[in-house]
This record gives sequence, C-alpha cells and structure tokens, in this order.
Amino acid sequence: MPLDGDVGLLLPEIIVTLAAVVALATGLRPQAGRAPAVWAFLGVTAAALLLLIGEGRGQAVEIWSGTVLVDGFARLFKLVFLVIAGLTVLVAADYVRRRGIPPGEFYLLLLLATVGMMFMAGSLNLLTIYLGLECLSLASYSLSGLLRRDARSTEAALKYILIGAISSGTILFGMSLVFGATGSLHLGEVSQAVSSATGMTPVLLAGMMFLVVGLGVKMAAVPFHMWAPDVYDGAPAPVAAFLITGSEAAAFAAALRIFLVGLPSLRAEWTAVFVTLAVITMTFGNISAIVQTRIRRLLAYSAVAQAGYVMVGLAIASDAAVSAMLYYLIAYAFTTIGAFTVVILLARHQPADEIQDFRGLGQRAPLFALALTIFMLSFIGIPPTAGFFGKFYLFQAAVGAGMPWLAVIMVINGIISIPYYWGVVRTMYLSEAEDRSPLEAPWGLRWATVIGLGATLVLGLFPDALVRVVNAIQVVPGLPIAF
Amino acid sequence: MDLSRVTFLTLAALATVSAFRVVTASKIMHAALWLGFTFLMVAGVFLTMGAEFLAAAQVLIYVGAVTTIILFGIMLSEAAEVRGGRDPVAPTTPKGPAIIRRFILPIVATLAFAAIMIFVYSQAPWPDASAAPAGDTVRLLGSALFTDYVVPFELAAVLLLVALVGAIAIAVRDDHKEEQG
Repeated sequence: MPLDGDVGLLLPEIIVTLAAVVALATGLRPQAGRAPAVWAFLGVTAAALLLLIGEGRGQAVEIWSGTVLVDGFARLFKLVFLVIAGLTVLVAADYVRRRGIPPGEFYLLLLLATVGMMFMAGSLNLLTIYLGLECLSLASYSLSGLLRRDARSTEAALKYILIGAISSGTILFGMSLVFGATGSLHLGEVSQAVSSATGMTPVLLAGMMFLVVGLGVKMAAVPFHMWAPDVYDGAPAPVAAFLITGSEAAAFAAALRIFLVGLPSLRAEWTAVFVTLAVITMTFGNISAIVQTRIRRLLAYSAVAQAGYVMVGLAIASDAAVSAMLYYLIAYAFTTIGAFTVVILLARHQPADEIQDFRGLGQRAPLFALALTIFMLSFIGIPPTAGFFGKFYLFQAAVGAGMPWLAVIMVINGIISIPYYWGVVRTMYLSEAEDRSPLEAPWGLRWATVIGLGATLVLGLFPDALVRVVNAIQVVPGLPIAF
Repeated sequence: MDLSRVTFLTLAALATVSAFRVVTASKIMHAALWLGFTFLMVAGVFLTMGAEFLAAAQVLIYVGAVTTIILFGIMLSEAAEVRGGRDPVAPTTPKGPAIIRRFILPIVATLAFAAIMIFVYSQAPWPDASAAPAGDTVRLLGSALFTDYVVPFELAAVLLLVALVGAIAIAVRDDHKEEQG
C-alpha cells in the first residue's frame, strides 16, 4: 500500500514534540536552571517560524491517507496555539522555578498539550481529532495538579479529570454513533454519506448532541462549566491562562470542523442548540462574575462569558461569523494571557488572591496597572482595543444572519460586565496600598505583558491586517476526498 | 432469536451489572475485582462480534495487566481507608429532598436516557452485519495501523508519554523540595 507520507508538512508538530522531550531531559539534572524553558521556547518559536515561512502555504492538502489536513484554517490555528504556548513559557519561566514545579515535566506536558491542539485543528479524521483532544486533556489534568502542596490545585486536577473523563467518553460515544450511521471516520465522507443516507437522522442527531455536550465541556459552556471556575482558580496561574485561551480555542476549532464539514445537513439543529448555549453561557458567566471577590475566579467566570460570545460565531456559522470568531479568539488570547501576567506578577510578592490585593497597584507598578486597565477595557469591548473589534464583528455577523436579537443580548451582556471589570481598575487606582514598595518584574513577565499589550492595542487600532487574514480562511477545505 | 444474539445480550448484561457494581461496591478491592470481571465480559462481547484479536488484547492488557496493577496499587498503598476495612464515606440514609436528588432524579434521568437511545436505535435502518472483513484480522489490523493510520498511531504514542509523565509528575514523592508561598 503506497503512502502519501509527507513529513515536511508535519515538521512543526515533530519539532514541538522533540523540543518537549529535550526539555524533559534537560530538566532531569539537579541544577536545571533555565535550560528546559529555553528549549521549550526555542522549539515553539522554530515551529511557528516554519509555519510562517515553510512550504505549502496557501494550499490545502490532505496527507497520510486523510488523517492529517494542512490548510489555511489549520495553519492559522496552529500558529495561534504556538503563540499561546510561547507566551505561556515566558510567563511560566519564573513561576515554575519559584513554586518548585518540576520544570522538565511542566514544559513537556505544556508542549505536548500544544501538539494535541495542533492535531485537533489539523485533521478531518475523527480518530486524529479525538487523539489530539485526549493528548490535550491528559496533559491539562496533570498540569492543573502540579502544585501538589496546594489543596486548590489538587482539587482542580481531581474535578477536571473526573468531568473531563466523562466528556471524553461522551465525545467518543458521539463519534461512534456518527461512524455507525455513516461508516466513515473522515468528516468529508461523513457529510457525503449523511446527504445520501435516509432514515439515519435520529442516530446522527443523537451523535451530534453527544458531540455538542463533550466539546461543550472543553469550551466551558454553561451548563457544562462546573469544572471551569475551580480549575481556572486552582491550577498554576500560567496553566490557567493556557487552558482558558488554548484549550478553549482548540475545542472551537474541532467543533467548527466537525459541525461545518461533517454535519452541515443538521445545520438547523446544531444552530438552535448553540444559540441557546451561547445565550445561557454568556449571561450566566457575566452574572456570576459580578459577585466574585477573588481575582482568578472573576477571570474564570469572565472566561465562561467570553466562551459564550465565541459560541455565537459557531452558532451562526456564516463566513462572516467564522471570521469574527477567529478574530475574537486571537484577540482574546492576547488579552487573557496579559491579564494573567499581571495577576502572576502581584502574586509573586504577596498572597494575592483577592481583588482587594490590587489596591494601589497604580502607584506600585504603573506600567502593569496601565496594562491591566487596557486588558480590562478589551474584555469589556471598548475601543481602541482588540476586544472591541472582536465583539463588533460578532454583532455584525449576528445582524447579518438575521438574528439582531442575539446582538442585543450580547450588548446587554457587555453592559452587565462593565462593573466587575471596572471594579478591578478602580481598586488599582483609587485605593491606597498598605505596602507601597514598587514591584520588581522578571523579564519573562515583562515581555509577556508587553506582547499582550502590544497585540491588544495593535489589533484594536489596525484591525484590517488580521481581518484580511481571517477572511481568507475556509473551514470547509475545497479539496476532493483523496482516497 | 439465535444463539449468538443470546450470548451477546447475556455478556452485555453481565458487563453492565458488573460495571454498576464497580461504582457501588463499598470496598475498593471488590470494586477492582468487579472491574476485572467487566473487562472479561467486554472481551466476550468482542468475541461474539468476530473481533478475535481485540478480545485477546482485551484479556491480555485489561484483564491481565490493568486489573493486576490496580490490585497492586491498592495492596501497596499505605492509606488505611484505601486498603480496606473502614469505608471513609459512611453510607447514610438520605432524608427529605436528598431522596429526590440521590434516588429519584438519577433513576428518572437513566430511564429517560435509555428510552431515547432505544428509540434512536430502533428507528435506524442499520446495515446487515455480514460485512465483516474476510481473512486474517490481525494482519489487516496491523497493516492498517502502520499504513493508513500511522499518524494516529504515533499520536497515541505521544498520548502515552503524556500520561506517563503526567502521572509521575503528580505522584512522585518530593521530601526535600519544599514549595514556597
């Protein structure tokens, strides 16, 4: 049997995997120092560069007997995942050392989680997508529990693994029903089989619902979000930032492929389900965030609310909506990692779980306070930040798809969210700190903040460049089924 | 109803009952043994469907290795409540609203789910089960794994590495490295 085995197009994944193993090996020495972090960062950077300048740009090819697909969609998502992983390494370098987390294991798990996400976005084969998802999930469970003397971290890992295992089972059940009804694991063939088969609709609907529930858990959509506040609050802070941005984006990437490529004939059904979930998710997330007093729980519920906004794009699923969704996910990733960087910085010097601990940050660390202010503005969606255009394009897509009421609900939610985001800013500037000593920032945190801030502002001031990129992305690749 | 159908249903029912016993057994040792029995029944289900290699792998890996390691894990554990004897969470008789939450709601949900799934399965025009691949299934599986499915196969290897390192990172004992802050 001949193989269309193209290793060149898989090189980014291979490089990241190798870098992970090297990071593990260098971390085994008793005085590992910075080496694992440096190797991890180098691997991620090399893979990202290869994606940017490497071969095969601008075309969609399916390789390895249809188990891997390389197209614009996959390439953009892989790039986003690599940027998120790189920023997480920058943020984590100091954190890992200070909290006594084993560095080799940490970076290996982080990078292999990234590899899993890359395969989730880079395949039309349900088997590959599932294995990528499991790779991400297993790494996330153990990353969440790496602060082993911290009861919150252990609780987070335990809740995550229990709920995550059920969600994996649910996804697998859904995939098996789709396979049973259509006889193929390849989403392109699934959609052909669906359109020709009659009478299989109930089975496919059941499979679709299982997939919605299983992926909904990964997206932290209400009512499948029970794990999210505890994990985002209890896991090591860089891991929480990684999960909120990367894991969620990967779940949306897989969902876009599965529902748009594989099950377009059930569009009316899944649109209804996702619209309902989106409205519940954003409203619940925003209302729960108001009463939080712990900063990371606030960010956790805010993440749930943001997942609701992104889901609006998935529900509408027009070209404009998908572009808006991609824009939103990218903008949101930079903003979230930036906000978490400031939280990590403050927690370096004092136990800083409560929003009250941000008192006087405007005097103690003016640059970081300003950055956090801009991140909060971006979360609310106020120009000239990236978050504004993200929300704006989603409104446009909702109105364009004939659902103006959905845009109205999004606006109402935006207004609900103002007080709690703004409360953090007010605390930073208008309350006096007891300890006024300026905060020292290690270079990793400094750079992560600058990159997050720069991207948030650039995407807010000059959105056109990224809009052109995301508008060119096709979720459904225009290629013949290759075998 | 022919014999293979009867065998299949018997094995499936036994697997379901023993899986239920895994979560309801009060001693973890019993739960582990029920788990092994469940794996064995599932292997039987594979056999009735003509997947001999899967059945053999199921017996070797799950019944043989996984169950044994779980039993070792329990026996080597130092925690008294894991090793048996007392039940750390003593069963209590629920009263009032707890009865609804712990008995009525799960039963209603299970029955509703079963009803929906039976309806779904009975509606579908399933193809005849005669399409089993002829010939050597082991050879077919092997060549599929190393040709068409080689990327998922390698990804599964990465997945195992993640599981291994993750489990060690969480479970390893570090007496000398204290976390600060």
